[in-house]
Amino acid sequence: MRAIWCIFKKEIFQFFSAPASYGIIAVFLAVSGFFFYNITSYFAMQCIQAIQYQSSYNIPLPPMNVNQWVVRPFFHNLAILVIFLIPIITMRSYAAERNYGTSELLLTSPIRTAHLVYAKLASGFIIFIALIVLTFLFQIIIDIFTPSGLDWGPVWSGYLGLLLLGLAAIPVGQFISSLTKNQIVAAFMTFAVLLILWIVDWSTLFSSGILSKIVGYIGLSKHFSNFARGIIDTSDAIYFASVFVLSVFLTHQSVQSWRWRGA
Amino acid sequence: MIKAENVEKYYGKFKALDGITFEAERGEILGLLGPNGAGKTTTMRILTTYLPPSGGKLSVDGKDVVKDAIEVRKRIGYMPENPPLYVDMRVEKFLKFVGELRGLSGKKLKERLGYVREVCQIEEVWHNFISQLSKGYRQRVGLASALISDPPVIILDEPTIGLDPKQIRYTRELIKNLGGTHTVLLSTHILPEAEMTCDRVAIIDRGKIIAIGTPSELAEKIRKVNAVRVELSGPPNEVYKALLDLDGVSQVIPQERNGVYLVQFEPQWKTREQITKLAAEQNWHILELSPREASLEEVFLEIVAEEEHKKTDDETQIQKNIQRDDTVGE
Repeated sequence: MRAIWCIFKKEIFQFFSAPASYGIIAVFLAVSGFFFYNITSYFAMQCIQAIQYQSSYNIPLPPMNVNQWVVRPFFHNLAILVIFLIPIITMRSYAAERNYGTSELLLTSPIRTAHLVYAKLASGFIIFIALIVLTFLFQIIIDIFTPSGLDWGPVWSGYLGLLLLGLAAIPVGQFISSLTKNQIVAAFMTFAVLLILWIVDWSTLFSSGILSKIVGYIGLSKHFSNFARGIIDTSDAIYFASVFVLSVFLTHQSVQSWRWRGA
Repeated sequence: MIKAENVEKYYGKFKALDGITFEAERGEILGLLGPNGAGKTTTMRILTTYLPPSGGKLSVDGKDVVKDAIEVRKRIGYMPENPPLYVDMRVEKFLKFVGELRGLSGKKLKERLGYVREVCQIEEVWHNFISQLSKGYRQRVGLASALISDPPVIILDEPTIGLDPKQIRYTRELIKNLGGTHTVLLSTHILPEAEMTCDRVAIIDRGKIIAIGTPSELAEKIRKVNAVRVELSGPPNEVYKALLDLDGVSQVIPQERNGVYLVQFEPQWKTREQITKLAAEQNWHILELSPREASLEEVFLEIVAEEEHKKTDDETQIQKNIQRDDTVGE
């Protein structure tokens, strides 16, 4: 426990003491702000059109739902951003240790490999959560400027979805980082793997059968979109949890294997 | 304290360690001496549990490096050849991190930080970023990180590399002071360093320990050919001839100054007595007569050459003679 806390502190310190990290935070907020602006402008335009339609044809339309028009697409955009963000957060976790030789310090210290892995995971999550929490600002803005207010249920489930997405994707990124000494390679490979997981179920759109069912289950996006819609399904949670467990296990094995590979 | 029995290590098909056996007592300073690529670093990495051995047994304080890895790591402070440092940290922060990682906290941690700060001479750079430090300072911070938890066993891989002469001397002094209370294992390819700092030296070549003993014991081993430096007041030519005529003398080598000779002879002949007698008979004055001890460098070359000789016999015998001539003729 002491070792986990000690390495966790070090990781957090290293992230927040690097000027580049603030650049990442700034870019993340700028891009998510841009998405938010686009989505809300589009929503406003649709509202005006609906009013015009209603007044010229005198047909009453159902009220526009802000959750459906803004919150849901915004979560989808955030999820795509997260797929870009996570490789940047996780790329250095193990690759840098090996590149600078500090892996030798960690592996000859009286700590268990598992504790090292847990500490890295925990710090990855905390950094991820710190970034995601910042986007809550946008939800507050939309709540203030919507006359009927926001339906908060789907917002919470959307954040739960993002959290689970991070829970699954961060170990994937850290595992890939443990395979190489090159941070750029780690980031690129993580991004490729996450992107493939995100789009893989598109291929099942026009097919059926057992294979397409399996591929459909592997896809990240379907499991995430349920959360964005406000549906909390245990099978989705189980999916994220299995990706988490598998990647953590692989990371542990990979770090162990540094020893006989002579990292 | 450290016990290695027949340790082997393969990197793929390459045999890096070929049955290494040695022991280091509590409080002893043991030097691993050998050319680059001999297996010094590999031995240390296995001892620190960084690499698993391919065969054989290794234990520290009775704890096996494979089965009791964590216990072994608790007892060892290790400085690799390129000290592993977080360059984005300040020196103080880094050493604090290593201390906490090794289980120190509170007052004890503060006390040890103060100790390594003073003893490793890093007060000046205490608040600097490690990325800004020179090689010498990085080396010292690395040494500090190995000492911070006050482990009973200290393993130093080429501890004086990259230091300036003054620092080298200071570091050797420091290592010497660690002996007695700590078991120190250090590797070096600098012979005088091993001679000066170590209680015992193990010579490693191509994954094998080819000799082990105190520096003087090792020197003793090759003192088959003994030598004395002589200066007599007689005419140089006559002196040269007379020296060569003595019983058991194999070679007389003129030295840097005219009239000074290095006389090599078989050890069983009492050559010094003969020289005194000769001087008395010829009525020459003895200006200098000093036995010349083999340095560790000669021991090293001799032993390595002997090993080679075992393999390829006659051909290397010639080389050995050449080598001997070179080293003695210095």
